[in-house]
Amino acid sequence: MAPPAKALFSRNSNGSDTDDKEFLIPEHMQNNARVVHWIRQYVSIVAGCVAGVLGLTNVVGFLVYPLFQLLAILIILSKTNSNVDKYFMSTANAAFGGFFDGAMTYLLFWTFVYDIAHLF
Amino acid sequence: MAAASTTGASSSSALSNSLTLDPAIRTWVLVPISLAMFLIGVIRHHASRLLATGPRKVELKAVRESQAVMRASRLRMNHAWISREASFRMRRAFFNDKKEGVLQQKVKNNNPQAQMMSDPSMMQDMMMKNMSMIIPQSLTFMWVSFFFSGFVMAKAPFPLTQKFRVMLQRGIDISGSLDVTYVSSLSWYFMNMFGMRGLFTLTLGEGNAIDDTALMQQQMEQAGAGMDKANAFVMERENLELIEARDGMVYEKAEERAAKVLKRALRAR
Repeated sequence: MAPPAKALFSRNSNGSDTDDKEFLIPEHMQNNARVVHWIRQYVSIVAGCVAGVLGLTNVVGFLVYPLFQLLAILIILSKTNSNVDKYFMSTANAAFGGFFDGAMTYLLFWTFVYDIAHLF
Repeated sequence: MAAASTTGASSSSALSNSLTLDPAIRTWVLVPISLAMFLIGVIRHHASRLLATGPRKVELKAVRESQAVMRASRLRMNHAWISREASFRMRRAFFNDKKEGVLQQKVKNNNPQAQMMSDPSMMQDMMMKNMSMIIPQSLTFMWVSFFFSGFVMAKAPFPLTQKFRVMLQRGIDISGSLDVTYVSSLSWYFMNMFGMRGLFTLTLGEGNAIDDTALMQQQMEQAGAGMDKANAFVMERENLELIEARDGMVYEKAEERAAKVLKRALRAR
């Protein structure tokens, strides 16, 4: 599996100055959104597996998910050279969009791996 | 395989917190259900690809019209990047000219409902899509409820309120004495159904056949694009007319911007 963030493209904005005219490339923006979604789901699955294997329960288990999402944000930050604005329409969306979609995935994998490893 | 589903079920409720489950349940029920559901999802994705008919035939005129709207909106968005006098006016005349402008032409509005009636392949396409959705799902449901009904087979690693009992312990009759966090096979099926969407987007790619929401959205957009072209023409026309008075080009400020960039570059050295 290739490192997903390799596919990040810069949106050809005119430098980083705050001019209100920007040249948007919809394909690149779509691609960026897709990559972020990919990272988020991937991180959710990994987080679920980690929490399950460690046998975490209750509140500790619920803390693992935001922690890993923070990791995802850090990945995005490092891949965009802390210049998130250049790659996404809204920074908040890039950081927190799909948080609850990922939570469903996390819950499933947490339960699944926990049961396999610790229940029986 | 013929394991008793709940070895501790008959004991008192005090014991129900630490239920001992047969490991065979894990090997023969928990893992198989999840695996089967995932694989069925993969098969469904590929089957619906095979069943899908190619792109629908559209009239040349209709394509031209919608492309014209797209081009006009692109011009509206990026107008600041081209020269005002020659380029922009010329392009706008192409769209807005009183006699020959593309957006001045008469358009025939056909609503999607009538289109669907006249074109049976569209109906068939939708039928196929629905069928490839419903059949595997109901088959899996039958498979789970026939072979694995009454199994306590999973435990949620977090506390839940009594309200969840109906949801999570579907198909078990010993409820009441059993801890709420234990999950029955039927409920595990439902949990998988909802939770696997993320996994499917990873393995099958975005916009896969499993993702119903994306599909719905696509259909809506298609319907919307074909719906009101006359209105869209008028809108784009007016938008283009408005542009000139409002704002200028990016390149009018080119020197300022160049100075700014160069200054920053100097400072960085």
